[in-house]
Amino acid sequence: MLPLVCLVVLGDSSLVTTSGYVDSRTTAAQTLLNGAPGLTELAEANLQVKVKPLEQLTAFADVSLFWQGAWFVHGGERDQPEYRPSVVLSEAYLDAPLQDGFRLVLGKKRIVWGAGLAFNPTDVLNPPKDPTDPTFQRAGAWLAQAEWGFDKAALSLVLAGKATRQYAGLPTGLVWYPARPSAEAVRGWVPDDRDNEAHFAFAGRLYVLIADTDVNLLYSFTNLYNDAFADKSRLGLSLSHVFGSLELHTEASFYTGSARLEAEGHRVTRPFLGAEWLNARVVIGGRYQFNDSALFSFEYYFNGEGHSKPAFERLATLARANPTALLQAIAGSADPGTPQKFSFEPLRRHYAVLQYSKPQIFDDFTVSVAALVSLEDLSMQLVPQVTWAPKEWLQLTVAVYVPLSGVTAWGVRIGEATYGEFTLSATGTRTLVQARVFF
Amino acid sequence: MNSLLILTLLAAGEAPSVKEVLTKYDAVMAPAQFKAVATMVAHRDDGTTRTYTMTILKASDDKSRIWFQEPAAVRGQEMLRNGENFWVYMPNLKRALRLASRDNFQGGDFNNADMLRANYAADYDGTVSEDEKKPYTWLVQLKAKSPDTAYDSIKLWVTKAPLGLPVRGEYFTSSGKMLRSADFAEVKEFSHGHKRPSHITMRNEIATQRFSELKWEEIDVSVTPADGKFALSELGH
Repeated sequence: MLPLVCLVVLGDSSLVTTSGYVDSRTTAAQTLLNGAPGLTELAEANLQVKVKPLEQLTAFADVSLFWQGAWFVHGGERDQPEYRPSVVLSEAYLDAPLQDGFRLVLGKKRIVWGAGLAFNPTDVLNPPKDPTDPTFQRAGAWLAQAEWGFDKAALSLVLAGKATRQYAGLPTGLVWYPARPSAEAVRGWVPDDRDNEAHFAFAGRLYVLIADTDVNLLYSFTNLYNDAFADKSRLGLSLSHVFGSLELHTEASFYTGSARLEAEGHRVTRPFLGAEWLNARVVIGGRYQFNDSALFSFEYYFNGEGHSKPAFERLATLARANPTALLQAIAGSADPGTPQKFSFEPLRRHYAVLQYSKPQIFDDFTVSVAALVSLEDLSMQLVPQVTWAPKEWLQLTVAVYVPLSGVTAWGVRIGEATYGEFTLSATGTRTLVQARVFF
Repeated sequence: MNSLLILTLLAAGEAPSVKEVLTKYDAVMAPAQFKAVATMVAHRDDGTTRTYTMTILKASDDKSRIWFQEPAAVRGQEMLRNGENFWVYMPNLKRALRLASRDNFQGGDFNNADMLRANYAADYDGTVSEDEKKPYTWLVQLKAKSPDTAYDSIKLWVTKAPLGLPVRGEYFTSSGKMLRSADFAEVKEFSHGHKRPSHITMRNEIATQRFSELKWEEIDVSVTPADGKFALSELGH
């Protein structure tokens, strides 16, 4: 449908809006575990096309071609499937505003309602994002949305299906797994992950602007969608208000049980999926802009899915022994959507995200520092970054990802060594050099 | 010299009320509803510039929306004002974020309220007096009625005849420190007889090498935007 619409209107440039970028991300990393590459290149060509053939119909697509390479692999060069070239269809949807105040959307789209910046606990629809750079995640979910929008209120209903199989960015299985196993499973390269369940999510959102505050009330029902929960209802609340130059927000999700992984000997299980105790994930934070345009943002994240120290120690011990198996278990059903420059699965309960950026320190140089801190051992991922926009169409970035181990006494003991949550990964300090050309 | 003298004589007379001046100013600078195309050029300390092209839509005194077309890095960004509330839609985040009215507008020397909240009659009170150095203008000294406005106090020079065309503005913090100054030039008649300065130069009085120019290319005051255009849920569509 989408290519057909594009072809019909291609001759009329007034109906077509295009934008995009070409991007190169080169990362050099200190490797700590076997299989971790010391040098990676992620090149992306992104194209966003908006076509408006009719007053009441818009078609939009956001597609990226990725070329990836990995070298200097710890423990010896080997094939790295996650670094193969790929096509990512981040968004592709039809948007039909059928009446003033009512629209239907059909296709793949990213819909985010909550006010959180680094974390969105109420978001059950989208792939997880990089908390140190929320702008990086563009991929959405396959869905149908009906929305009634008014001056100070909106009601949205969304039904989303999980892409159970996809190739070159396009799904070959949606909601249900295909009848046949994948070629990789037939050859025994990966386990056959099929089941007979419907993998879907329903989400409803009521937005109201009350006393100059954005208020979102959310309800969702998911079945084996982006996590291991089956038939799970959640309630959500999000608030955002501006006091002078300070924006404050909160976003919370409430539900029963937990999908957390528990290590038992050499295997992992999810023992609390059917539990009936109340659980929550909550973000409280804000942004403040100074007179010189510098911006400071802060968020506290309570992760009800997090582990106690002994449970985390068991999981971390298993992770050091078999990181690949554990990563597969953690990733489970959540496809990140795009190659991640920093992926993070919060395994503890209390986190803080702090970010400070000062633009135009000289010409168009922006200096920023982000810190993602585990408050239970004070280990952190520190990300100092310099961005320079020498031209309106060119942006250059150098960022360093520094994992710090925090307070030794609060870390977890594995063998003879003590680790913080952020020093358990397969790589140590990483340096990222990025160049992005907009068109 | 002669023409200035004639203009001064014509314009001489009792000072109008501040409400009368500000109502005229608002009618000139922010008609009740309009659709416009404008270009902002931000001049940086080192002499480099950044150019932003945008479409602006306004309906009633408290609803405005801006779409950015250029440069490519901000294409698809939108800004919305509804009452005292400001949002920016970021296409890379696929969502809208709340803004403060005094945040800088696209890193230039205007702020969000300059662009989206020009409603001086409602937001300010003050006095009108003569200025001997600019005898063809009224000097309007304004104090903000609330902290949501763009500036705590303003000195504004507007023409006596026709009443309300701005010539210069100086914008201050509550402590009396001048933050910005603006020169309004190139009065131009747009569609439906709407006449206003088409070129505004906003100087940063803190970082004095910096300034931004705003050029109004087209203004159509005959549009009647649908209310739905100013709903938060419309951003990004």
